[in-house]
Order: sequence, then C-alpha cells, then structure tokens
Amino acid sequence: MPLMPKRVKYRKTHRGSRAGNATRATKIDFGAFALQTLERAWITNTQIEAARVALTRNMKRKGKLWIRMFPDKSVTARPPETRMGKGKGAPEYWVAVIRPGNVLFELDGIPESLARESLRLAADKLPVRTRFIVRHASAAV
Amino acid sequence: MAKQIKLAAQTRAGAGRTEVKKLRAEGKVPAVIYGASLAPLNLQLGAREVVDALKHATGEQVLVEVEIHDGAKTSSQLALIQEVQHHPVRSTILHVDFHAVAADEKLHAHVTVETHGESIGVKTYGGRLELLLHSIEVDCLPKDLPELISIDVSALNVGEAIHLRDVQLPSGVSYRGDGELTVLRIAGATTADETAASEGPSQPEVIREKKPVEGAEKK
Repeated sequence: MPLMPKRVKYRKTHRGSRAGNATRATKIDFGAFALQTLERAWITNTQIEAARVALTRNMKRKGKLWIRMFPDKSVTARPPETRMGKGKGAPEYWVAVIRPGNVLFELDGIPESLARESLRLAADKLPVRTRFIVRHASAAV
Repeated sequence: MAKQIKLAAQTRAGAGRTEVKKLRAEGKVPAVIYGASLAPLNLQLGAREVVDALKHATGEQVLVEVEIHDGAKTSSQLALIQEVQHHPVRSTILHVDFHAVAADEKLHAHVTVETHGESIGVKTYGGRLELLLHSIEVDCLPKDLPELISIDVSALNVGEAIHLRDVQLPSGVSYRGDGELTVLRIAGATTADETAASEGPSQPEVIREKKPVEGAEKK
C-alpha cells in the first residue's frame, strides 16, 4: 500500500509553489548515507513505494532505512472524455513536493558499496536527478 | 585533544544579503565572532582556507585560533566553530559562526561519536549496530576538547546498549544531559520488512468540523 495521509482536513489542495531550493531536510540527520535530489518535482506515492521496494530488496533486509519525504498533497484528475466544468475532479494520487537539496532516503548499518548500489537502484525509480551523499563529507569551494 | 587550527580573518563593514553575495563572488566567506566577553564582530575569511580547515576535522565543531586583522591592528582570539551554513545543493560554505572562548573557562561543544571493533551481536548473530547519538554534548576546558569520542563495541551482544553514563570520556571532559540516554545499541536481525507501509484505507479520512447543535445558540 503506497504512502498517504491517514486523516486530512481537506481532500483537495491547491497546486502551490515549488520555487527555490530546499531549506529543511537538506542534511543527513539519521543514517550514514543518503540520496539527495538536485531537481524539483512532485514525487508520487507509487514512485516512493517503487524506490523503497528496490532499496529493501537490494539491501536484503539488512541495515536501516529512513524515508525523508511524505506524500501529503493530493492531486486531482478529471475522468476521461468529460466535458469542462462540473467542478474539480476527484483526488487521483498523492505527491511529495521536493526541491533541490532535499534528502529523500537515508541508510545506515550497511557498507558504503551496498548503500551506493541500493540508492542507485532507488534513484532509477524517481523522476529527478539525484546524488549520493555521506555524513561528514567535506564542503566544496 | 583536538588539533588547533589557525585562521586569518579580516573585519568587514558591509552586512546584509547584497554585501555578502558580493563577498562570496570574490571567493570569501562571511563570518561572525561573538562571545561572553566580546561584542559581535563581522568578519570575512578566504573560502579555500575554511574548507581546508574543516576537511581534516571529524566534526564541524572545532577549536580555532582566529587572527583578526582590523586595518593595521591584529588580534588573536580562541574560538569554537559554532555553526557552518552550507548551500543545500552546491555544498559550498555560506557563513561561519565563531564562538569566542577563554582558555581557562569551560566550554560546551558537540563531539562526534565513532565506533571501533566489530560487535559479537553483529558478527555472530546477525544483529545491526544502531548509532542513536551521532554526537555527544560535553563540557570541558578548550585544551581538553577531544577531536572525537571512540566507543569500543566489540563486547556488545544483541539487545545490549551503551548509555551516555557508560561512555569513557577523557579526563577533564564531562557529558551534558541525561545519563540514561542510549548512545548506541545492537538491534536484532530484521525478520520482516520493517519499513513496509502498513495496509490501510485507499482514501484518507476527512476531518469534519462538529456541526453546532440546533437551537443551542438561539435564545
């Protein structure tokens, strides 16, 4: 079952703004390795689930995984072959809004080579360019 | 004791977004120094110098000797790097906070935790080492500030943990906080997919406001 909120105040949301870089969840807070996005996107709950399955399958259930994004925004769609009007469509799926710099997944308890490969497989399931980061990496000039 | 790094800094008059943007374009990093006996002073440093200083440090809270050049005057101040701000995408250093400390007064810092050895629980029983505290808050004199705190995990079995009170700290260093806090533990082997999303309804429940009871407000 893909991720989605348990309870919401309103079923439909505005599209909102995705401008700017991430200001929160930009550093590794829990694990030793992480996947960081370099682009902005709406990542759907099924994409997150596909990435999670790819990760856990390659890790062979070793190590620990943290998912640092949550799809809390509903996206509506109109049924096919429907005329315009008659109100907004029904919620179709849920997305997480991510901006450049957001940490998407964190891993710990596995060697770096396995973490790198697992996160590469997960990144292939996502609609954004990403990079692998490690805790206490030195800064760029 | 942590290695002491020397950094040369110049005072700067310009403050605010436009001025610091110009500084960064010139390859400089804006910084500030403050402390109990020092009024806040805006500084600027060479970006390359700061990156090189932090490259070989285990954490970002390191003790530095800041050489402040203010026109013809030059003074030296012992300081702890309190915070380093990074660009979220480019990872460049945006700003550095120096906390001025006195050599004879205790300071409060975060020291990185490192493990050594392979635990019995991980090697023999397939457990998993979970580091819950990546840094420990300590109080000590600047000369006693450790570079990192190394914890031996080789004797730990599955289900066992090391708490803050069990951590062997160098002499003159004491921890801050509750001694019962777990620093690391050896968790059992994962039997099920722990991170699997649980089964639930296909649509979330909508929180409805309670309707006012009819006639309750009317008089």
